[in-house]
Amino acid sequence: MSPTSTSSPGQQTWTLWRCEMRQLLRDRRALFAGVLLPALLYPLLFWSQGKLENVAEGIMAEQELTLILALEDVDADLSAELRAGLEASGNVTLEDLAADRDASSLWDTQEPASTPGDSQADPLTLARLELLGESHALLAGRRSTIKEDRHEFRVFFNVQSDESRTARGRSRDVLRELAARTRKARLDALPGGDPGAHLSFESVDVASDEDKSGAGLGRMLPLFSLLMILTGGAFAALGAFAGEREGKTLETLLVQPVPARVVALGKYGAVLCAGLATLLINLISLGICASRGLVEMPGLSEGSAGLPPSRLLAGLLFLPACTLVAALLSLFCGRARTYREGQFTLFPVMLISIVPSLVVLRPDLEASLLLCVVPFAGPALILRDGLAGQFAILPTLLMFASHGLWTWLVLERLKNLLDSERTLSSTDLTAEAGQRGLSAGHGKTWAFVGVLSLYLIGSRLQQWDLAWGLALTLWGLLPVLTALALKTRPTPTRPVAVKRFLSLSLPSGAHALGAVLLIPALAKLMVEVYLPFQSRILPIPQSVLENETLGLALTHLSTPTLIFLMAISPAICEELFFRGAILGSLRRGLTPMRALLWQALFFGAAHASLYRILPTAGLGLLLGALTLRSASILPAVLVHAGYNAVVVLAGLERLSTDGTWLSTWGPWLALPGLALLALPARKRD
Amino acid sequence: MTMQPLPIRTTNLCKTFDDPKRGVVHAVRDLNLECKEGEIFGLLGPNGAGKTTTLRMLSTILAPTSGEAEVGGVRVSDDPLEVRRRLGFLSGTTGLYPRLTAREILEYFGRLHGLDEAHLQARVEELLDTFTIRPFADGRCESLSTGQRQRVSIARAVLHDPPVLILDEPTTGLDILAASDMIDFIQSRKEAGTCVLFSTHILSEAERLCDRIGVIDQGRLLAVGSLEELRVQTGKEWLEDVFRALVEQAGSEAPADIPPAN
Repeated sequence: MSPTSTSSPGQQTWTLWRCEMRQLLRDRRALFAGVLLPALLYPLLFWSQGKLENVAEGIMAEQELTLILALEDVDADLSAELRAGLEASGNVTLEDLAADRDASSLWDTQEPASTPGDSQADPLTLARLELLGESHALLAGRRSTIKEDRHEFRVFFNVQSDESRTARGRSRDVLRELAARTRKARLDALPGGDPGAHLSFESVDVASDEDKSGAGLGRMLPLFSLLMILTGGAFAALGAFAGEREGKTLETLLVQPVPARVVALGKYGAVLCAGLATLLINLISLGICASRGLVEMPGLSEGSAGLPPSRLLAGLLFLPACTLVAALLSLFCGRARTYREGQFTLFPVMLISIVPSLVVLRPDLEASLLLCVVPFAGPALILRDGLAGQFAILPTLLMFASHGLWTWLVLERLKNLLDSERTLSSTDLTAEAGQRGLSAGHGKTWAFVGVLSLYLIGSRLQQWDLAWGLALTLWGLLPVLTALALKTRPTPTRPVAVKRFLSLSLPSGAHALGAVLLIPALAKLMVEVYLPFQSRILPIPQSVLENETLGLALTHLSTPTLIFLMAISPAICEELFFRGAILGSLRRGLTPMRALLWQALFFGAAHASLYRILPTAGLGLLLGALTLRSASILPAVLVHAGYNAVVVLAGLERLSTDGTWLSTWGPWLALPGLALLALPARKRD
Repeated sequence: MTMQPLPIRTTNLCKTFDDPKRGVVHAVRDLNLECKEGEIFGLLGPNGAGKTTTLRMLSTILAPTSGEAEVGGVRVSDDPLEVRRRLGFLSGTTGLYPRLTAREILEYFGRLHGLDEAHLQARVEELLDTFTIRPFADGRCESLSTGQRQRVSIARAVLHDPPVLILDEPTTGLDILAASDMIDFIQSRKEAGTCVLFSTHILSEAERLCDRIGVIDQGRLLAVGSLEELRVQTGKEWLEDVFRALVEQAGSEAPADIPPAN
């Protein structure tokens, strides 16, 4: 053996970090996204924005405009002032209205009583158009007919022409300024001054400029920082974790004498560095833009709003959030087996980190001891307050400690994930994965077919005759669908018997009893909690309600018939299809949680009502969970039947839900019910 | 000379995967294996026989469910880091970092192994010559051919001069020339006194290289011995026939694979 000196974990972490950084620096995409883009983004953005604005202003000022003035009646001083103002406003040619033209139409107040179609034929409009001629606007003024020393003006323009609109705007500005000046002069000339000046109001912000701009920056910096860390760190994390797995170098790395903790730490260090570098570059670029006056930024602009560097040090208070988001990024990418899979994880990380940090937008929330341990919310609040000049030592210490702990926990998880057997043995199970995909696809397809047939066939049948249609749907359509789904299920390498596929075996007595005990609580939950809730959020329209109350059309049936039709039949047939065939396929292709969610979604959709999708999907979730828990659909059948019976009978007022023993004490039965369900399952066949 | 511990030894090694969808999968069952110093041992079996799982347990990537695996007298469960120091691991699918050069990769792994800097440089230079990597040592690995990459991978595996080499289907995915390079390399290790354990499903490789062969199927080691011994045991001449005979024999002795208890 060669003379190996055992290197310390610190040295190994350093080696790993260096290797990751070196690879990152050679990755053109990473450099582009992490360095070039943030450095150039703001200057480019503001430069081009400024350019465009200048160009637009230039075009406006350079436009040659012709204005016709009809001011023969106007006071000479005023007229001269107006002309001077118009000439100063830009490139304007002023012409007087030719003496031979008839200006009387200009002051005609009679509105043309026209319909939109024949406005062209209106003589008044035609006369004005004629006067406007080739010029862009016509400015008419005269002494007021009411009072000698007043004037009134009118600007005639054509909204279809760009220049004409500009001419209108310029005339208006000049006139307004003139009006304001005249008004002030006249008010001042009054004995005793301006009569309107007996009460004046002004609000004065006593916060220092630093505090004001700090507060402004604090509202924006948390979100901005997290986004930048994510942008810069994403490439590093994808390359270091998902890319390493995809490039098949991880296995090699894991047979080196390096503890998994060191591997996780070295790679995490690279992710954090990349993220922080991007953030720093971006902030510097933004700061430069602000100080050059390219952009108005609270806290960064030169002059009154500038923050002293000492105040900007508060930015360090956000470091714990940066370390945590980099750790989360590493963890999520560490789960991914391929680069592509890793890319899909970026969005959840973004949501997890950014949403809590938005608390800074609520000015009433303070960094309390409780809030400051909340991931991302705490640092964001403390950063905001720090930038605004408020600093509380205890919440800050607690925030640092708690976020250190969160980061450590995430890194521990990452360490365990790196050499987890799930990800390593996956290569051996390619065929299995294909099989799982087939099974999941089969489940979803048949669930879709089921929902569609219920819409198309079931609803027709029930329109024809409600009772018989319902019976036919349940006992005719659903069993056929179940049989077809069962028949076409993909044959796995280890075939599954029908009994096991549909979960038809008997459950343990404890599980069956536990399920039954849930029924009163479930009914109460629906009637007393969910329905009032829904009536506030998504009230069911009266028309839909009447349409949907099956009971109204079925009141002629006897109670046993009703229970058979509305409780027992749906329980058996729907459970066979949804919890038997569909869940049977889905759970062989998906993780249990996903299988549950999918079948619940389909079950909710099958009830063909927007207003009932939430409660039915919720019920589907519970029934699915019962089936998976007890490895049998029987508990689900019992709960479904019982629940339907209670709801239908209560709806028809054949069962009182008020004040009876069952409605008062029944819900408490759920507790022993849940306890029974928690008992271990009977050994499966 | 005192009794040296065997380079590789497994006792009743078992690995079961608990797959929620398939139930319990017995990948390796009661595997007993011993490899001696300077010996080339071939683990021969069809796909899914448990070869990779065995080698992964020996190289500490997977933890055994029960039983023990030892490398140079060190149990993998006791001190996995020490075991990793003693072995070089290489599989046919091993990748290289595309944006690093061959030299950088060798230096990187050398540092992870804790070679001191002076020794590391000397060793890297030596390996660049041994495996004729020098002409392309400073180009990024993404631009290398499969054969060149394979040579870099081999150099990486023997960088710390391990007394035990574990090669998982080392020729899989290689072209003819690269594969024969690999075979030459394995043979050269024997002269260096290294214990080589490699898995393959290519019979000619096993026939040509191995001092002893272990035939593995469905997680069980069916027979161990030199090619000659296996021929005698089964009465067949060609390794293909030997292999088939052993599998059939095992099939008739043991009941067919029982679906796992669930």
